Amino acid sequence: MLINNIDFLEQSNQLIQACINGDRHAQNRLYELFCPKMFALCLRYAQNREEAEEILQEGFVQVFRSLHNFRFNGSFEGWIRKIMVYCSVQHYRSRSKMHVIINMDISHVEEGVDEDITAKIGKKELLKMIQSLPPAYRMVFNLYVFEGMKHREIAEHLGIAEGTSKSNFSDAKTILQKAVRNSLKIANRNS
Amino acid sequence: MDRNLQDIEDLFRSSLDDNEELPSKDVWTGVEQTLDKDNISFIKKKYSNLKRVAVVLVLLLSGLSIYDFYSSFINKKVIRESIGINEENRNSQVAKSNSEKIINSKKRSSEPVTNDRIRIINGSAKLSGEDLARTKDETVEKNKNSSSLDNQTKGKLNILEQDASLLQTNEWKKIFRNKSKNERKAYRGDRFEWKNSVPDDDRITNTRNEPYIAEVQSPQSMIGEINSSLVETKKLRPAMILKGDPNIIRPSGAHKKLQKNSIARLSKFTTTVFFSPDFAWYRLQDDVSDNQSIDADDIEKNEKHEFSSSAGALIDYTFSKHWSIQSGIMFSNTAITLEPKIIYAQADNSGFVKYRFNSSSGYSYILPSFSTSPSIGDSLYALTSIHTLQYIGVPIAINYRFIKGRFTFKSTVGFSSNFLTKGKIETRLEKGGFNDSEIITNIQGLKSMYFSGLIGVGSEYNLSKNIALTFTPTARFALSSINRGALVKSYPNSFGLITGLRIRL
Repeated sequence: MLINNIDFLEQSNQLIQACINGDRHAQNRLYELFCPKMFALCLRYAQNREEAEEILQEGFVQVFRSLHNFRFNGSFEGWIRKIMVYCSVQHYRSRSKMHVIINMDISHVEEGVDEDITAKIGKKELLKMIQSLPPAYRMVFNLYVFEGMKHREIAEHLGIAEGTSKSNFSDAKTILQKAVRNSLKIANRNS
Repeated sequence: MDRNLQDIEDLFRSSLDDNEELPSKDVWTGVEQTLDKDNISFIKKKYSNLKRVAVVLVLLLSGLSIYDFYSSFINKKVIRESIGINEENRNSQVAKSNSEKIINSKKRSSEPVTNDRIRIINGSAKLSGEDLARTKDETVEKNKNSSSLDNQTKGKLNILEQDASLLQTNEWKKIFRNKSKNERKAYRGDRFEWKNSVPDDDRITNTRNEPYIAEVQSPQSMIGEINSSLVETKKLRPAMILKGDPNIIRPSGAHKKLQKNSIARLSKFTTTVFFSPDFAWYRLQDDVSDNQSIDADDIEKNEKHEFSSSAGALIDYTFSKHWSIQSGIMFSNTAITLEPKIIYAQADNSGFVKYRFNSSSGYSYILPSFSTSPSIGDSLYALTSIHTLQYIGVPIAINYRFIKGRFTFKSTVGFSSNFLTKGKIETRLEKGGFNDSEIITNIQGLKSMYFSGLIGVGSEYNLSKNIALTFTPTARFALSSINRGALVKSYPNSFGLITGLRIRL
């Protein structure tokens, strides 16, 4: 991968400096360097591709706006990632009133499957499962699983109670388990 | 439930964490467009303060120009009026004297008129008024007796006749006074021309063949000086006798110069370049809109003003003997030391958890490199910090001055619009052996402008007519707070010892 192959630290510092100075070419290079990873992240937080692109755009604008605040000490990718997560949360918050609460039947989870799931379910399908989660569940699940946040932190970020965060996470897990099981069934039937 | 489904989060994490996807090209286009808009608004914002200063200065200069124009117009009017009064007095004396002299000249009418009446005095041809009058009488007499006079002589006779009558009857004064302004100018434009400065050459011509008003210098002598070169005849003005021999009529150029000199004044504009060490302090007031637990007393205990200073250039416009209006530009720098303190993490306005740094000017959120994702309530230690505030001020003040020997004493009262140019906090953060230097430039709540009043009393030592040393202790006090929506409302005050050089422009 490009980021890992080159002497990235030195180059990225120069690139960041050029971006701070408003060099549009450098900004474009920086965008191209990080957009695949960040877009994948946005896809997990969004309901669909369009929404993910919206978040990605907002995120990169925010990155270029606050680039002068970057201290060159920690990981630049981590810094960008944090901004993307923040933008995703903001996006969720701004649209939270529009979200419809879907009553999903999460009481019955079938048991007895013991297979190599990743071999049978592709990444795209797993991503689709996350995207199909209700927004509140999706947020909690992403922040907990991918960002490693504690329920207390998630609660503060999303403006919900800690108990709600735990409950949402549990529900999200149940939904995903059910979805995985169904996918495996279909995969087994086809094979 | 099987192991994989129990650890479903691990399944998703391992599968999707390193996932990569390419977005459509529209995303970059959107980013680019937003950044372009940002650039435009940044430039607008950057120059908005300068625009404000420029507008204030333009307004000020326009006001001064209008005032200057108006006051010079009034001055001219007053001078003209005073000239009129003086002329009236002088002319009445002249007329009286002329009558006496004409009577005397008639007594001596038997004497023939000769060219030697035109004498050379100090290189100038002079014609005594006495002789002039007599010549007129003689010439009129001759004219009656002789019908063979040529046109030139007739012209001379006409001129002299008019002179005589004017001098005798004092009518010239009335005529002149009744003339319109333009006609007066025309009279002033009339010129005598002595073809030769040699006394024997008695050729006097009026170059425009127009009637003229004879020059009358003073009641005592009716001597008119006519330069050997072209000389303008002019109605006498008081300014003409202010300097030099009062019996001499000077050529118009010199006259103008004299007149100008007599009314000439020193420039009304002066500039002061100054530096001022300032003793600064502030008045803090709790801001009710802020819900933080810290109050004004806590902040005041924690902060200490350091050496502050201001410098700038001021322009004075003197509009009367004692009063002048002052404006210009003033750069001030205030430094405050903040004692070491513990700062806590809390969610900022966007929901991000950062460490909040409070000061009298406002607050800011920071994330040191060693603690990039703090939790609410986390704390770290901020070592001694330096808070710097820099403003560009545009003062408008009224000065009252009075002169005592080489000293000028003055008092100043005014106000100043102060535009923030830099608000900075330099600090060092420490936690568990890690430390990091932070420069905070984005202080929340700090206003871009505030107003302050100023009052000062001082003196100036005049080194020369145009240069003076000035020393004016001046107190500056905030009329509005420098911040809004911060922990406390801060009203900066200072006492500065303005020392500088005042130069007349």
